[in-house]
Amino acid sequence: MEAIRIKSNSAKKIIFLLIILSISSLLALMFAADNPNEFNRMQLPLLVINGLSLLVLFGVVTLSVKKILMDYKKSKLGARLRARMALAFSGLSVLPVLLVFIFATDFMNKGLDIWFDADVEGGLRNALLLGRSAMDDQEQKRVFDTANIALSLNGIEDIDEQLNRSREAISAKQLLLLDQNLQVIAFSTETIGLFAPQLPSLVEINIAQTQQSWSSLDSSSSDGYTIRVLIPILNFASNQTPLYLQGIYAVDPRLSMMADSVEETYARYGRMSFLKIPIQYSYILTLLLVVMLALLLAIYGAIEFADRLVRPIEALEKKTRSTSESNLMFNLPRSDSDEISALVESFIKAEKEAAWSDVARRMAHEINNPLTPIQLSAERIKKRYASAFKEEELDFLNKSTDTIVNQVEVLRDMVSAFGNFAKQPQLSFEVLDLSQLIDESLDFLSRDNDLYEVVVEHKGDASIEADIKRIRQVLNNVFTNTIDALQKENNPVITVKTEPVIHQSTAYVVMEVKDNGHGFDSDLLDSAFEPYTTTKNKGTGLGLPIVKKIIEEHKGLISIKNNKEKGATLKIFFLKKQ
Amino acid sequence: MTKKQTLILFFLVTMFVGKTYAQDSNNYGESYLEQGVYYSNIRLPISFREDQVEALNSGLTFEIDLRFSIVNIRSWRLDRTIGEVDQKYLVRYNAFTRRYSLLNSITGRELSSSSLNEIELEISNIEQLPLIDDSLINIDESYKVFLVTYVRAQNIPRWMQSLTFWRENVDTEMETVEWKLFE
Repeated sequence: MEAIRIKSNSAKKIIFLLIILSISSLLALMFAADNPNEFNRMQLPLLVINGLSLLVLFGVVTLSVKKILMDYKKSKLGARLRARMALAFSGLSVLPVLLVFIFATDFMNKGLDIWFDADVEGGLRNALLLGRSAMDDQEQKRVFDTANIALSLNGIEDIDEQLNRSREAISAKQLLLLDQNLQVIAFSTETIGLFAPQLPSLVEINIAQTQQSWSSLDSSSSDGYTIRVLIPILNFASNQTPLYLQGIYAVDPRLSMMADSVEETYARYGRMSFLKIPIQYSYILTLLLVVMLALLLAIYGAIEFADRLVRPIEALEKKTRSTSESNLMFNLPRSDSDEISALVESFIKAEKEAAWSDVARRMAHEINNPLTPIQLSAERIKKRYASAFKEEELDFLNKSTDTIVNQVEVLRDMVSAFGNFAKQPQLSFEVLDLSQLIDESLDFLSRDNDLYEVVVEHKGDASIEADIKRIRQVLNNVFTNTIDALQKENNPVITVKTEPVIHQSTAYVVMEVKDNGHGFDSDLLDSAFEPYTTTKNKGTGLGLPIVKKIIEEHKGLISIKNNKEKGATLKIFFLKKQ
Repeated sequence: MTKKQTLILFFLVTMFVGKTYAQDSNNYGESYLEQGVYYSNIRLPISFREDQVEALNSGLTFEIDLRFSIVNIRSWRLDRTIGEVDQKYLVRYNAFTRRYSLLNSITGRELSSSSLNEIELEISNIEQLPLIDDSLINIDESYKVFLVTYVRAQNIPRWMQSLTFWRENVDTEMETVEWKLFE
């Protein structure tokens, strides 16, 4: 069984890209929030990207969960383990994320409440009133100034001239004389050139009529703060319609600037206060988006992780089942290289070795028993009928009995090899000179066969702590194998090197045996140390497995590889001290 | 009553209700030609809703966007827009002066008043608005002026606007007003 897995690499890449994109967009959203204009511009596209990622991820997670549940219901192999692991890992991530979300939301709401605290609003309003009271003094003064000018206009014929003089005297921006129908009679302004006078409204005229004055603080984007005053002119001429004098005055620039600042702050606070709920929702929604993305990512990761973890165990279970169905020669898929896979592989190897040892032990026992009677019987037959047979028949008898005896010897050797493989080690460690043992072993083997060239190179101290008998066996097996591999070569050469090395903080003496033979077939190379793996016509297939077994008993390391040009190289790391 | 009769009655009622609504509307627009230019007088009673007034008094600026489209009405073919005119106003409240201000974004003319009604009145009656040059008009064809008015709060992030389904939206799009450019 497999949890929903993204089959194609491109689909996986798309998901990965979306995840990266959504994380980037969230980061961009976070940074853009510092700049309201940028935030406003980027917010929607970024949210769309995140929403899209969320949807894709949600779809993938939903399918994975559905598949796991279906497999679980069908009691498929490994489904229970995968479901439990996915649930456990998801649970581990879901709970903290939810907690973070709940607390973050709560803190955010409280933070916003503090931000919009009533005291702040009250303070701002008071600042506004304070500013206004400062302006009120100026406003009253301007009402007084305008009323004085209105009085001075009584009986004056050259009104324009009088208005100009008065405006300059009191530094007014504009003085305007008009009737109740808003018809301009005369006006004076500090602005040079064409100027459209700012007229009061009828409502303002009416107020001025009833209350004898009207004044207001005003602001405009071009002039800043101004004071506008409207005064009715009494007894200007008894037979004429009532007239009104309007004066417009600039506010002290310093006061105007401060008023602007207070007003802007107050307005900004008012805006934020009005938008408090949408702000709250927008933050919560962003947070929710982040949390959902994190959550889905965590669940997706948990399912993937559980799947990776369970896969080798699943394979072990499958293979164990197939082993029980007499398929002993299995290999695990080597796709994963994590600890679980290594553990499972080691377990299977140990199982295989145990099985082979058991077989070897039984074979040694079962075959060895009838060998002696067979050999003795053959010798007895030969002895008894030697005198009775004629020369021609005797020759046939001798050949036949010799064949039986020889083949019994071959079988005995094979039984001995099996016995050695199955034998439990009783090691007796002592300090040995590996180079000396190598030389002795090569000398011994070259007595029978001197058709190959041997190059020996010992570097440094080659002393090791080991069982001498077992090491001799190792050397004999290795060199015999090497010599056998060179049988059909024209210029056979064996190169043997030793030197002390430090490998993974441990001291070893490494022995390298290199030949220029035919090497290993690529399909046999991986299983070179497994029983019954041989390239020879004759042989038990136990030579290298025994070597590996002894090296492992000595906590050493062994590896084999084909040379680039020709032949193979075997490396053995002998532990310097046990 | 048969099913067919019910359906006919439904259509009649729907048509009647739609017509009554249009008749009740105080929106009005007319155009006239003067010195080679078509001008328009528009009466469009704009009134801020209660929540909009609250938003305005809280410091939000509102934009009133009047979009005029002059459309060539064609028989058996799709109508064609031959010109568009935008008239934009900004309305805001100054808490310091306690006055509302109305700024015509196109002309730059500014008006302030302590009464929002006065501001509303000012925008509601637009007179002598130049629409289109006579040279662009073919007198043998039929033209209509369509006016769509949007009232939008400014400085609200777009996303926040999209969140307004949580509460009432402060933006409004007013009923389209249409009239013939000439008879």
